[in-house]
Amino acid sequence: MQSASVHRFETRAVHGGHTKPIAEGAMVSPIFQSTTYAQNSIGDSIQHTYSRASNPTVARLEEAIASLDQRQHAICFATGMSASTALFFALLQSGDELICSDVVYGGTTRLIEEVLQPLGIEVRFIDTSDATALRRSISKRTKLVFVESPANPTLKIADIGALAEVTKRAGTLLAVDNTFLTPCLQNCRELGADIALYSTTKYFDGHNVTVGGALTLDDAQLAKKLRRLLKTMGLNQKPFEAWLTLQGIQTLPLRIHQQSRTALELASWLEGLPAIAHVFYPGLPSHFQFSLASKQQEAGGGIIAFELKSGFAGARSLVSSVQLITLAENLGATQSIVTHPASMTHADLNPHDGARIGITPGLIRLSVGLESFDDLKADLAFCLLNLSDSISATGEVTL
Amino acid sequence: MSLRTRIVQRPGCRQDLSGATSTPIYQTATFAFSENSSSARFDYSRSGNPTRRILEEKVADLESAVGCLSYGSGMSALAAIFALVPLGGRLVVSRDLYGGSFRLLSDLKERNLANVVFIDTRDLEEVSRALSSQTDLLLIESPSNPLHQVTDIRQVSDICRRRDCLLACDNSIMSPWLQRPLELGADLVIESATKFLGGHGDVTAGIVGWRAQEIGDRLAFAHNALGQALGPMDAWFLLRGLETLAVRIDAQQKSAKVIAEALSKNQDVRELHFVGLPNHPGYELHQSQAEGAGAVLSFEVEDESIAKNVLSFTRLFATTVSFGSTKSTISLPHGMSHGSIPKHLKGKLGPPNNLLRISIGLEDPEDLMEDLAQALERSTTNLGANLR
Repeated sequence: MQSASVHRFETRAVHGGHTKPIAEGAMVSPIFQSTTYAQNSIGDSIQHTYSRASNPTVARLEEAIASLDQRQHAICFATGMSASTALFFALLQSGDELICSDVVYGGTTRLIEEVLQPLGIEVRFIDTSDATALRRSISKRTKLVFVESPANPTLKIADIGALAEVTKRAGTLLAVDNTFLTPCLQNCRELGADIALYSTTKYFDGHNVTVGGALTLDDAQLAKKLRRLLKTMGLNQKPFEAWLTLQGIQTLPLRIHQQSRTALELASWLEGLPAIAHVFYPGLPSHFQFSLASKQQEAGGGIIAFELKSGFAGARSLVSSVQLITLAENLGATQSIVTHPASMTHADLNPHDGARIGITPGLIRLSVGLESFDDLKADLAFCLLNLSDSISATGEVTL
Repeated sequence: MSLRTRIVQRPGCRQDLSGATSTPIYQTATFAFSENSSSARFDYSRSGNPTRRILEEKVADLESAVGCLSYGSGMSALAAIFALVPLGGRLVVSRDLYGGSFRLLSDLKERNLANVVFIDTRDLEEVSRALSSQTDLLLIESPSNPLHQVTDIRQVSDICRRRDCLLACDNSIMSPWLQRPLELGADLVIESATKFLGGHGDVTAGIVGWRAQEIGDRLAFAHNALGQALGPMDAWFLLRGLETLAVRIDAQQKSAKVIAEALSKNQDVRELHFVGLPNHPGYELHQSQAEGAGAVLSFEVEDESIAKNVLSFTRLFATTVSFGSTKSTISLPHGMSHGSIPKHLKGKLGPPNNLLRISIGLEDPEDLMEDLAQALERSTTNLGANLR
């Protein structure tokens, strides 16, 4: 039985779009670790032929993600970056134009600058927190507007509804990277976006055990084109990764709501500390887009960014002295992770460009896990109190 | 560090050479000896495996145990502790117990390996009387499955200590997040890790934790000698499932309470067995030794045929054995999990035939309640009667 729309979000997360087992009555989907599928005769039409093109376990994950995002189609990829690759290649050719948020994941910028631009695709990076900037920039050649909201790592918000109005009027497509919030906290379809992109590595998996990506959309023609590209370029997700992601999704609502609650508590506490110049968190009333965030998001999410008064020296000291929180890339996992974007996730940006959009040497990104608030606070407090003693506010070291 | 945090983070994670934030899966049978040492820390995965070792250290920490071993199933763990009883020794067991345990105990008795006595461990005098004959092991479960009978673990452990009898507590229905029997005085804690510890219905495993190393050594000897160990892949699945233990159970028991309250008002429900409601006779005792009522409960309907109808009419609740998973399940214990109790004993042991057990998962509680309500309604109306 399909439960795509009859049941509430938590229920769909657990049942993955179905309420009945698919094979042997097994309550957990089998892992179809199979390369190929037997055919009875030439031209025999079977659902799956070769696992690069499609696989039953991956298909099950696609149904689950489509059900959560209330979309007609979800397509899974080996990584978040391969989902971006498929999306860009499906929609953009030489001479076409892509408009992209100025603050996006560093890997997206690298793909655009090192792969798309050399192919003759024109790209404009604009501040998508301002819908009028898009109205000014959009042209007949714009084939795709690609937005991250909240933006990684500065947590700037784009008004998805306002941007969707502009793209609809211009007859082009709006894609939103919804990795930070997932359909649990932000429904891009209801807000008017045509496509949502996910790095399922983050909250969907949520346990730091896989890499994966997904696109969700309603347009059947585009979905067909994306699937053809997936098969042609070999961007497919693997059965075991898909199965682990399916198991992870079952606790997605629990995890992200809990992480969001702890993040709000931590952000409020961090805001009052002398070592901190600024806290960026969409759930805080001090966030410059708080009312927009409250309108389009269910909650602030599990990611906080903050700027240290002591700049790079402070950042280096903080990330090397945390005990409980791990210094690593990735986010959205059960364990809390701290990242220094300027030298890690966004290291390929030149420092001047980085600083202009807020990715400064003193910026810290914190992905809040499922540990208790008190333990996380104690871990950060120990580092931040040491920080204000040992480094003067003027002792800034630049990268 | 709080229990909530220790559930998420495993001890020693920074010691890995690679720094991997997820535990490596050491899917290897043997380990090479290093050149300058004749003994490696690990030599053969039946005896010891790094992935399994990390799991066992983590579970021992959560259960407040001195040490812990993992087994291929909950039954394998139970068999391991029954083996602590010497040949011809005496075992005393709670009367409301899992059918698989009954099957295993019957086998011990039939082969004259041990004497087995079933008692009501809620009654402390009955416990004292039973232990007045030399007894080697008392096995309890509190609250019991499926009837939610509450045993006073502190008092029973005092009696056991005076009589020099080992007290083992099956904690599968609670998990260490809600109850830690070793802190209450038990000598051994057993869990079917298939249930809440794993929590995703994707692995079968059992664990045993102990408070005295002498007992741990005896268990460890058999674990290696008999080859009872859990495989590395299953150990890894458990580690991964464990990370969300606190958030899962918090949500599941919150829903269970809402559903229990609704069931208590449903006219088709005869008797409700759920220790989370203040009118339950064991409510206060349970509150004094555990931090929540959990997410498994049972209720009686008019008769067996109505119970069977309810099973067939639920849509979100899958009809299946086991409990503690992300997905809600419903079962008729009399014929399913407790089916191995022979007919002539079913009046005295095990659940009645009109009893339904439900395990609440992570679905939206309103969806679950709507599903149960419609199933109960259909089962008792004419439509249901025709199907009967």
